[in-house]
Amino acid sequence: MRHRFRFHSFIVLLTALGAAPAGWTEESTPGQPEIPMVAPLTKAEMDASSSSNVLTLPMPGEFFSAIGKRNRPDWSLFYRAPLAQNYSNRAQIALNLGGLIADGYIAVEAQDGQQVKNIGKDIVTLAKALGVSKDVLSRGNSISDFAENNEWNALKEELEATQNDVRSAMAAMDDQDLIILLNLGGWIRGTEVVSSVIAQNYTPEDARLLRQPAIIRHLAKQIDLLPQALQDEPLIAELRKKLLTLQSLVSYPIDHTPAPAEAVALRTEITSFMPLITTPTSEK
Amino acid sequence: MIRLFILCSLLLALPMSAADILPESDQAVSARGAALDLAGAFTANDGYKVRDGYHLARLKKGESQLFQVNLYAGNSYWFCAAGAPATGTLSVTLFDETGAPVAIQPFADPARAAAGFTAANSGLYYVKTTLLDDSSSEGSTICLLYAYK
Repeated sequence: MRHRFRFHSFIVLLTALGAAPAGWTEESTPGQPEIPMVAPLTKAEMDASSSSNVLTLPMPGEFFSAIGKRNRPDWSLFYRAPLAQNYSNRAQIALNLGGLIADGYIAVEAQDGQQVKNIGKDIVTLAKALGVSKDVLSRGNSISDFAENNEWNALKEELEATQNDVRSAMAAMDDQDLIILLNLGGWIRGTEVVSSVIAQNYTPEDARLLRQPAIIRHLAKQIDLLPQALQDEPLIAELRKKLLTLQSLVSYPIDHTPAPAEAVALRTEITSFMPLITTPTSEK
Repeated sequence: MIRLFILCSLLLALPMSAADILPESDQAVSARGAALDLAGAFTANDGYKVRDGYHLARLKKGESQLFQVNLYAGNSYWFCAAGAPATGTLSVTLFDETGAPVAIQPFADPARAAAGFTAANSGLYYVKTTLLDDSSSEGSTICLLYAYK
């Protein structure tokens, strides 16, 4: 009772300060963590579950947020040289656009306003090449403004909104295939950076972040849904092959903690994706 | 006429996924607003960031929707669901990749519910949203979204 009274006073105080969550009352506040008395899911239920590219795939920011908690890396070490601007292959542009958005999160984690602005400009340039720049242009301006004012949390939200705007514009242009590649490019770049952070400064807790079996399964399935002509393009065919090799490096039992050598192996493998994605196909 | 009939038959035969085809109806907008309002509490007070994405489902009383998410070890999450019209009672529960329920911090309010969770392991999880009670016989539109930190 005393506990409830203290909690009630706390909520009243928060409400008075305008800080209490809308609608939270003494009777309806989050409870203590507990395992609900519900039946486990059946295989049929799990097989029938829904997924979507928008919510099932985590954003690079979630990945970086997890690693930044225990061991804040020097994110600026993971910047890369500006990407080429002369891509002519739409699939390659979409892959690199996804990677650039991941780069934006790295610059935000590094709290480097100038780098965020540079990447914002590159995002708009690549978006233009895909014909979706109109939707992204205003985001580019907001990114620049937020970077100017060091609004790092707002920037993370703006980057995700940018990715969603690009997805919506692609969907509106019937370019669903490019959405898959945008997601793939972002995930590859995010995993490259996280595996590099862990390989350089190994902790068992961080190494457990590398486990992502369902994400890679989801991405591989999505590639299988691409039109055959696109799947047959050397870039996509090679990426798919590499993705299969990667599968064993991010899929292991839930109680397994990857050893330093496993983190290095993942970094080595995923870094080998990069020239394939970033070198303009005309120069290969 | 025959062509129209064939077209309609084909459309009806298509596998339907609520996630992909639910239009932005007034109910969807209202459910999303309520879910964002709930998630906003966690961003304002606890530093959570809301994902700029959501999942819509149409549920009737007693029905559930299972949705896949990939979570990272060490991150904390709030999964927020809200329904429209705002008359029902919702629950949100979370299961690991084997289908076992995991410990959550439950929250429930009329027509909205949330589950707080800190992931000890990275991987696939299932979010189950159930419409426990609903006065509307036509069901409600439910919006699911999440915030993380």
